[in-house]
Amino acid sequence: MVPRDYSLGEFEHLVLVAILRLREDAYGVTIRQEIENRAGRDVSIGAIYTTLERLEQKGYVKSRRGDPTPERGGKAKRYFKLTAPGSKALYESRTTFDDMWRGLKPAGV
Amino acid sequence: MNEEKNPMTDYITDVSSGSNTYDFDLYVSRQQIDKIVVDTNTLYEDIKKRLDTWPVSHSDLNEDVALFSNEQASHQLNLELERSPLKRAKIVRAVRWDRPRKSVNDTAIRKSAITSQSGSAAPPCSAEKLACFILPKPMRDEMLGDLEQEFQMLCQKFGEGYARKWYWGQVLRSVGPIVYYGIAKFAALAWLGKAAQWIMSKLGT
Repeated sequence: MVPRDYSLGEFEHLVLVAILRLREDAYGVTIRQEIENRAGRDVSIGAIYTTLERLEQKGYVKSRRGDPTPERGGKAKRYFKLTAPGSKALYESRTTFDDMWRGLKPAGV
Repeated sequence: MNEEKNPMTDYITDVSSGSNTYDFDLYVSRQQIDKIVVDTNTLYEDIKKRLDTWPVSHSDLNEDVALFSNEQASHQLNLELERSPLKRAKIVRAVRWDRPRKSVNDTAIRKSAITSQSGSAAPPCSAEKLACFILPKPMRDEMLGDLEQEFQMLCQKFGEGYARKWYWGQVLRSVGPIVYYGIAKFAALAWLGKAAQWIMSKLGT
């Protein structure tokens, strides 16, 4: 059995999938809304950003600043993009769960 | 236009009868002006008529003049204000005198002025200050921008009251993760420092 180097928390996993889904339009607001709409979790913007910071430090995402817009009070957006190690970590994380779940069916579902 | 149900008309009627029950500022700040059909001519004529009897003396006018900047309600007033500073002083003075005491505090008025001036609501001031205080510098601008963007969206969708509650909720709920993140970062740095110290001591011996 080959050990898996990439480890992701559940919320980190959610954030990375949201970024993957949003492609070029992944920034704080859209990531938060994507998680809320798809996972049904109302998360705070603070939780999103601290997770994104952590993921950036790990090298799983990279960010760039957009242009300031008037509807944001003249503040710029910060767009996030998945890196190659990030994609790999996401894939590994999903595979780990799939492997663990194979052949199982929780009772009452 | 049904006069009985139109607060702006009620205001005009009340002003002419000498009662100070209604507050022009409040109508502007609640953005009710957008929902009702305002007869700007009547409003303008009414205020203009009364101005002749008001004394003119006020220096701090700039903020209050913004109360009149709602296009729909006071297009004519603005034209007049631009033309004559004297008239501007009179109008502001008149509205100040009509405002019921202690019904609206200065911050609310200032906020309503900003709101009506830009055509969009402003996030709660204290929540914004708290956010500025707790947010680390690298992510401060982006987060405040995100909060403001969603605040404006919610304002249009569900109204300002809901949006303000949401804003407060977001700021308060962000305190936990941000403080935890800060502590974890500090702890990691402290741990690295200790590790480096240990390595140095080993190398030294």
